[in-house]
Amino acid sequence: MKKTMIGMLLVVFGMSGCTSHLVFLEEDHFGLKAQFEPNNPAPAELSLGYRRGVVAVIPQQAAQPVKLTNSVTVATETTASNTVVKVYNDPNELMSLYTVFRANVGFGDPVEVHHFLATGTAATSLLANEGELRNVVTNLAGFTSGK
Amino acid sequence: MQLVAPGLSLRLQKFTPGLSLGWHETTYFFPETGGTTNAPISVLALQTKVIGINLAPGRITIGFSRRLAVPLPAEDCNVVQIISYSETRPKDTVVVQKEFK
Repeated sequence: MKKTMIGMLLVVFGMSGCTSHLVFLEEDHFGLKAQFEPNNPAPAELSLGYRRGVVAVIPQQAAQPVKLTNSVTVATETTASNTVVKVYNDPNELMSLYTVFRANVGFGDPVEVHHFLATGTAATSLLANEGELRNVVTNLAGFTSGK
Repeated sequence: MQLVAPGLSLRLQKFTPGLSLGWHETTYFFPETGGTTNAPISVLALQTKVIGINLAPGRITIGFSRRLAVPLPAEDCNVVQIISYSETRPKDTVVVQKEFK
């Protein structure tokens, strides 16, 4: 069984609000495929054979242009016994996203997918602590079962 | 939840509308509710598998096609969600969404 870590997307961006639509899409296709655009009878894309795609679509819906800045400021303070990680949100940041995707992509093999997604403060909190983030990702259900 | 449409099928539902001839299978990944059923449940991910001919808005496919789509949680931006699915072990499927206020 072929196992592949498809991708780790780390996206911290400041142009999109909570009501925007993000679509994470993963697809396999074998055969003929034609895709069309509105008001155009000619196919915009035509593929024959095997095609595999992993796409994250993040449309920007800010009404006014927003100047990109560092999305998160992380400060680490170490005392005698503790290490405190503080996360300061940038006011210009409207949203944070962290997602991990793993799948079995062997053609003809049984489908197996594992997807993790964190948004907003949940994402920024994870991003502030690399060790915690690594721990969460590697111990997710299914992520350590050899896939 | 899985919706299977063998043969000729006309689908009018929101997520995978279209017409197919052959085999069309839609798997909806709904989060575990923990016994609470009063709150509306939104689908966290959607997988479609098609063998045959499929006509969907803006797309025609002939052959084998499978796609998994994960929409952004629309209502609340502070969420953590996990989807773990294996075709060989469907009973072990994990679909969890936790919201942070």
